[in-house]
Amino acid sequence: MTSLAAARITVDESLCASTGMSESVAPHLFEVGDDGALVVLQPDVPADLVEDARAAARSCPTRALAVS
Amino acid sequence: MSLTLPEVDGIDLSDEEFRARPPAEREAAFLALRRHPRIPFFAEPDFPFIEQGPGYYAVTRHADVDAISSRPALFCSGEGAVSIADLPEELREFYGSLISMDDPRHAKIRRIVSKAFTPRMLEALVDSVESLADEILAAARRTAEAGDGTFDLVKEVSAPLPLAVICRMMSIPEADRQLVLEQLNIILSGGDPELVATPEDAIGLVLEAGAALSGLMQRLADERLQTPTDDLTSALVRTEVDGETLSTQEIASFFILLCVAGNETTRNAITHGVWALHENPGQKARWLADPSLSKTAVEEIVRYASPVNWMRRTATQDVEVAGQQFRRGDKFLMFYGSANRDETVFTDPDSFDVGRDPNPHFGFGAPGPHFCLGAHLARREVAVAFRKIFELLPDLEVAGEPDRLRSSFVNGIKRLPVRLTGAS
Repeated sequence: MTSLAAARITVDESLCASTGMSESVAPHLFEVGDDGALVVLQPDVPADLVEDARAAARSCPTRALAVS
Repeated sequence: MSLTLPEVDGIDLSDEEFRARPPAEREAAFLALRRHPRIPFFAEPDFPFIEQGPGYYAVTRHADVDAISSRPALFCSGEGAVSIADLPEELREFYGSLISMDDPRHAKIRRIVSKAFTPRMLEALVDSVESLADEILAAARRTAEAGDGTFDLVKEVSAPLPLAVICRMMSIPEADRQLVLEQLNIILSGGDPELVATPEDAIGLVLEAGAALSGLMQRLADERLQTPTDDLTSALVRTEVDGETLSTQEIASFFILLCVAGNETTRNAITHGVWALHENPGQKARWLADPSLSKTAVEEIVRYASPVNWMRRTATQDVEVAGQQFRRGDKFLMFYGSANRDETVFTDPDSFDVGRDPNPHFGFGAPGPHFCLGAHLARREVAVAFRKIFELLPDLEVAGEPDRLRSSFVNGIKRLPVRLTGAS
């Protein structure tokens, strides 16, 4: 292990509408898949990406993302 | 604002005359409503052939719009989102599609189409938006040079660009684009007398317009079923929800939604943006000097323009908002432009600031499942439009007042006279 995950991203599927906002803010962490469902590319977020994850969560228009 | 605030009792948002008042007067009315402790109630405007409904609450504060929009289980869209009056169900689905639909069906269909509008997918489209903008602006310059140097920005630039982009996404043939534009203008006229002679004509004309667009889409859908390509139309005809493909009628409705949502809004954002930069030359100079402001400038244009005036929600049960009690079935109009100038959220809300940050505007709708599907696309189109205007039409200046659309629903500009100083 080079780095321990500093935070974890969870998606509330009942809220997510795949608006792509998280993907636009943090494309290395999120991608809307071919079936239209949001894929979290790195659910366990290393320390240097935690701020990106939080910014993506803040930008989500459906408030479907949690970073804890 | 130096205006004296009007008495809340004297304001009637349903009055057609209200829409015709100068923007500053309307802003003052909304400011008075935001400061009023109660969420005000208005009688519904008259619509021919539709029984007058019970009225609606006008939600004007940022926090209250958020509280309604973000709780779709309590405030649904399925009773109608784009019409104050309750429309017959067929008409609602026909003209609303996803926008007047609730989860779970809304979520299933939205996910299918959302992929086409994600930032990654739109990357591929950016080059074509740029080349379309190049062609359109070159044509505008030719129009100016062939005449006296003036032209209508809406006709030559703001309208054709979003139309060309959405038509390219859906593969609408060039020959059909004028038809699409004309029919959309009628659907979204909101009873503006220039487009619809009398209110009695409105419903018939709107139905005819819908039928014309629907016919075009059915033809295209049939073609794509035979010969699929990688366009959005092909994706729609292949789509299955709960094991069933979308009906031709559903595809046509979705096409109308995309056209309406993807054209008028962006068209008006571009036009309002050019007007705002004209009225705020310091901001224009600032943006020209620093192209990296594009991101915040585009958001500010969308906040300032607020192209959609409102969306409706209906209470699914007795519910409280801002300490006020409401009953199941109560209607709410969320006034986005008012929320976007809420002085408790935005510093100096009436000023146009291309560097505004943070800018938590509701120009693409407020939080919730119906947040604008095309937000990423619209941002790119507006950004490209202004970059290209600065580059290819650096001598563009506004030559007259905007001619505003008298619509309840769309904050539209029908015409904006401009001139190219280098062309005369």
